Amino acid sequence: MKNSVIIVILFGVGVLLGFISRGTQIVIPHDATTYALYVFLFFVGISIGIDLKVFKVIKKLHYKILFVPVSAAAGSLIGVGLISYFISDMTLMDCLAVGSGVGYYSLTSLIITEARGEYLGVIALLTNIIREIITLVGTPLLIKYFGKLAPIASGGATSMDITLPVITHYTGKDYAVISIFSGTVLSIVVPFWVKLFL
Amino acid sequence: MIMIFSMLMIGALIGHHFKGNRYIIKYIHIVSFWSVLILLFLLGFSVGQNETIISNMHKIGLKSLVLSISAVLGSAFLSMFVYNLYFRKVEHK
Repeated sequence: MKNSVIIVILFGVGVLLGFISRGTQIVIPHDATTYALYVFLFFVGISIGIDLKVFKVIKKLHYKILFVPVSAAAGSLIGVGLISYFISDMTLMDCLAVGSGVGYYSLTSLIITEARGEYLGVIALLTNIIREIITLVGTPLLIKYFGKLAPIASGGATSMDITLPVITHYTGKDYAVISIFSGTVLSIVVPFWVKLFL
Repeated sequence: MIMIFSMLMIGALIGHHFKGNRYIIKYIHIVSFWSVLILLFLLGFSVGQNETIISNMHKIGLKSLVLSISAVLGSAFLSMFVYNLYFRKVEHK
């Protein structure tokens, strides 16, 4: 709990500093987060290598590990599909397209902007960024009420990179492997299947 | 994608070399928590600087918030069934 408060505060301070520094010379290099992520992945790799029990998890689960990305994607569609009845100016297909991004905001918003214009594109961008933030901030709660797979499903395509550190921190490295697997499958599939709803 | 897998593989090979070293395992935890903090700070910073996100926040923010919450809840619900059906058992073995 103490850790997640620190995380939220640091994220908030980041947003605030970013907001204040708009238009100034202070710009975080585009790939700074990417390199920070690589460093993290390197250490995840070490902890996997130190204790190879992790691979027994995949072996034990077998094909069942596929249910993780499937539940993430199908659950998103069911969720946004149901809520689309309450959003007046968006059709069911609009909502499904936005929801099918499962957190992959950069690519999803590009594809949707191209096919449907900027309005829906920005909604796709915000929705999937907020999804990532919910996962980053809410992982302890998701685990408490829905079990250890919930943050992985919630993270969707980001569970292999941006949200992986938080997920690993709260679920352990066995689930880090499941998380990387699920995020990888979704990242590969998303570009193709967003188009199904446009 | 290639970088992600190669970083993991390089780490795993080095980690395998230090198999079972508790001293290193303890430090890995501290270092990985710090990289979480740095990652989140950087992400927050770029969200704060992103003109598109900040200036559209009030107009479509609510809509996006509702959509993302329902997507997260849908995913969490389905994953709960999968977790209870298959994963919980494996975990406790």
